Amino acid sequence: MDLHNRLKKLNNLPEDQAVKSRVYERIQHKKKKGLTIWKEGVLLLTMAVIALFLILLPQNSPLPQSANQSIQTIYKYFGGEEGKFFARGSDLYTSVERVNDRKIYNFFQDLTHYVEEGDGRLGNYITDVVVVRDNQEEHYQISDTGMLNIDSGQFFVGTSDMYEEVFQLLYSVNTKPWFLILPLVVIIVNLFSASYYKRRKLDNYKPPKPKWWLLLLFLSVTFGIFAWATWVGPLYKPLMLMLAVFYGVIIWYNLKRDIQHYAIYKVETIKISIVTVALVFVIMNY
Amino acid sequence: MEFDELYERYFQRIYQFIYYMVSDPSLAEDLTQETFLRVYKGQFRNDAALGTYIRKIARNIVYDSYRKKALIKWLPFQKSHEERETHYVPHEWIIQSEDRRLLYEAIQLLKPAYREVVIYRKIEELTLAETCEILGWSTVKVANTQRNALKALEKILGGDEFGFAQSTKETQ
Repeated sequence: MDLHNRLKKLNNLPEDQAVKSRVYERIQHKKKKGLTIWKEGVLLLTMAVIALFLILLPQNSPLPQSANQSIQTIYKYFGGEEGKFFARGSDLYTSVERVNDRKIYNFFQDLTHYVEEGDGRLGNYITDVVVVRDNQEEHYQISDTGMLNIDSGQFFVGTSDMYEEVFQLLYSVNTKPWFLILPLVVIIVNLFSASYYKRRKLDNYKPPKPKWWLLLLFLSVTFGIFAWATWVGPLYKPLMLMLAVFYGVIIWYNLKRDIQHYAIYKVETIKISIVTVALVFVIMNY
Repeated sequence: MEFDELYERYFQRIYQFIYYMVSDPSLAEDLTQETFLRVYKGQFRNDAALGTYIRKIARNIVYDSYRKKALIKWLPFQKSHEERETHYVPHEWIIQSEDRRLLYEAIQLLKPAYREVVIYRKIEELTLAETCEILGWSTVKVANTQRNALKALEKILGGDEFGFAQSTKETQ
């Protein structure tokens, strides 16, 4: 008998009714127990957000407090505007930095040594400052020409070199070029995936283009973020991280449903994961 | 199609394919269950024939199990239950006939890509187009793999039933 016919006969493996019903019962059991896809998604998202919040919880690092311990922390926001106040009493907001210089703590400990009340206007170079003293926040705007207490509306003029020195320390931007990593990562992962698809001849199975409503959602959220940052103030990092993770999950979920080829699904999942991690990293360091 | 109807129609084909691919009855049972669960949870969009769709899922699951097996081998400090190897356990029906047993054992010695092409094309007798769709390969690739798989099978069985040796001599 030739091999073709011998192989054909292997197609008659007898059906095992016991196995068939056992598998069927287990499927029925799992069908009842199993979570639906959206529930799994929400569960994963919740876990990710909780984890991120835990990572971002303020750490108990020793602060450079002054002698009588009354000032707890000082935060600054570089590049403020007259009539607007952007600094917040927490470094969980974007662009808000915790000040660690002892001179600044000494300066705000007793302002009367270094400034006196007077008339004047803020200059062109402004930094917003939040001083947390005895769990109360005090809000200042310090500029090259003088300093404004936002809460009381008092204007102070510097009377010593110390004022100039403190202003220079506060009006310095700590450059964080981390955001450059994001476009770089996007370009690199796209180049790698394109070359992989070409090598594996998967060009014909290219992942589907994003849906119009997804694009609209993404653009609206991006516009909302920029509008908030411009007109309202610094963005709350945990919320931004949640949006970043949510963005990754929603893009992945849509691709997962439409991709026709397993290899493309894996490559696209890796791509989305890398871009989301880069986005999270940029937000955390911004 | 209702799930029960689908299960009734495809269970045996899927179980048989997985069993021939993994050669372990209990693993084949687990993977068949996983396949139908994924079919139940997934959304079939009529882009392919239903049989092709289920076979694709089964194939992915089989390859996932190969990968897991390969990964577990590399993991240190394994627990005893994780060290479980898949054991070659031939089906009672297979050992009933010496010819079937020899053929089955020869198929098990083929590499997975060859094995699945032999199963689809020669055992289940799927068309070339169906096989291409399941594997996501071109017609040429399927044809070449089939030819090489049969050659390898022939070599294992120690004969030349397809006359490959002769055709090679003729072309030379």
